[in-house]
Amino acid sequence: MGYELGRFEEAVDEELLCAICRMVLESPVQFRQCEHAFCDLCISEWLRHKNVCPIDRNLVIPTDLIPTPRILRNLLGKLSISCNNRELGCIERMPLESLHTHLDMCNFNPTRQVQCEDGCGCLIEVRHLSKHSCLSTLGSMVRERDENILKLSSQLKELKQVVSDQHHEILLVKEIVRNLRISSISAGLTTEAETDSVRERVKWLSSLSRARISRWGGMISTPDSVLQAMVKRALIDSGCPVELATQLISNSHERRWPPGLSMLETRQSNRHRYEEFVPKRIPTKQAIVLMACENEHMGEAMMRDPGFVIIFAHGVD
Amino acid sequence: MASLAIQRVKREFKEVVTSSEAENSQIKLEMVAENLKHLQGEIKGPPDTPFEGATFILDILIPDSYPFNPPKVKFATKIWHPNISSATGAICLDILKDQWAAAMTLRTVLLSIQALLASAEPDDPQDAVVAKQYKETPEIYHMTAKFWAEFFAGGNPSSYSADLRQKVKSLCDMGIQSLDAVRALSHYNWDATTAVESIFS
Repeated sequence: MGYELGRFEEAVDEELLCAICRMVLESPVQFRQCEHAFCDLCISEWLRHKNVCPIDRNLVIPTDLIPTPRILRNLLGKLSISCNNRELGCIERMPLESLHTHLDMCNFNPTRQVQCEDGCGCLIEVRHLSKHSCLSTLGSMVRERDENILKLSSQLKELKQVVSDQHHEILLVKEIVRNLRISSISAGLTTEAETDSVRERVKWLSSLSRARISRWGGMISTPDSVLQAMVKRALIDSGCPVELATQLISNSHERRWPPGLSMLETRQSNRHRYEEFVPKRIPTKQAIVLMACENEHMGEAMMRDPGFVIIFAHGVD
Repeated sequence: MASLAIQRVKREFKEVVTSSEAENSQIKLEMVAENLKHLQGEIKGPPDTPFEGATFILDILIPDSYPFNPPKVKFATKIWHPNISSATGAICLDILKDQWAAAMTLRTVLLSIQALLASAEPDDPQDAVVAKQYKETPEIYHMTAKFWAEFFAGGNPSSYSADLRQKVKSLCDMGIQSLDAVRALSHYNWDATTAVESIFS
């Protein structure tokens, strides 16, 4: 909002008036396109209502506003204006450009700040000087600080609590990490043990030679325990892990053979598939071992996990 | 009321009073309330129009957000014009609505309204009945507008005004209010029978 016309000694040219407030331009800005100038505050308020120049109604945006040319500012700056505090008694006149410098020093300016000389040294607005009392000013300052200290110490307390909570959480996380590490180590050991047993098994199996069966009819479907014990001994001697040997021997009777071999009738109907087996010779014995890992192609009807043994009366090379 | 609005209206008031148009008594502005929020404008009917010689009173309300929003202006005097409601006096004029700009003043508003009286816009009507008459039977519109200006706004009497007054009087004799009589007669192109029917139906 501009300066009231009544404050100027001489008639002010129409060009120096804001078309919005109809007063002398204060902090003028103009549109880049049409160069129409307005008080900064007036045009900002207008642009909140409409995006057109208030004079020619062409479309504009706030960023089209630029400073007015120096010549306009100079013309405004030279206008002789009365002090804002004229009604309070200031009779001074000054060029508009030095109005602000004057107001900072004007003895009639009610908002001018002066330092109290009675002892407290506070900066006080002139209008409050007559009611000013150092004691009450200092008293309220002390109260304000006390309140601040209270506020800060309660903040400090809260922050301390936060820090302590976080410390506990960190301890908890550390404990979890430690446990995880231990369990992962033990898990790693188990894996190694398993790998070892697999390696042992593979090593044994690859040491066996492929058996050639000249007479499948020579198989003993119901070996007795003596025979089984003999073959088991041979298995272990060949390097088969004891645990595996026990499993394999327990699978050497037709009761424990896969369904396709467990009865005479099924054996007869599957006889044509015998040559598809990958049989391994159990050294020194008329016996073969059929491992599941080498005979996956036979299917469930002809194979049993982890494998089974067939003891022959004769016919194994 | 915002201080900018007060400041501006004060200055505009002075501007109108000292203007050349006021000197020629073409426009006039008066305060209704001391707070400058409610004003009364006055415009003369422009020459070579049905409104010549008549004086129209305008009711002006200044919003707190003035001059960022336009003043609210309507006719207090009855007028027969396509862009002014014959019932309420509401004005259809772009600068009083979306075409308002903060650089406009009460003086330019009064002059714009005066200019509107000289150049009606029947395609953007405020009063559909008047606009229809303006387009379909321009002579009857001219006669009616002139009669209204004479009857309500002190315009110069015309050669046919005695006839029209007689028609109004005949309706008044049936107990009809004169304003209602003028409205009904104007609405029905001065066909007294239809006008009476419209009132009593």
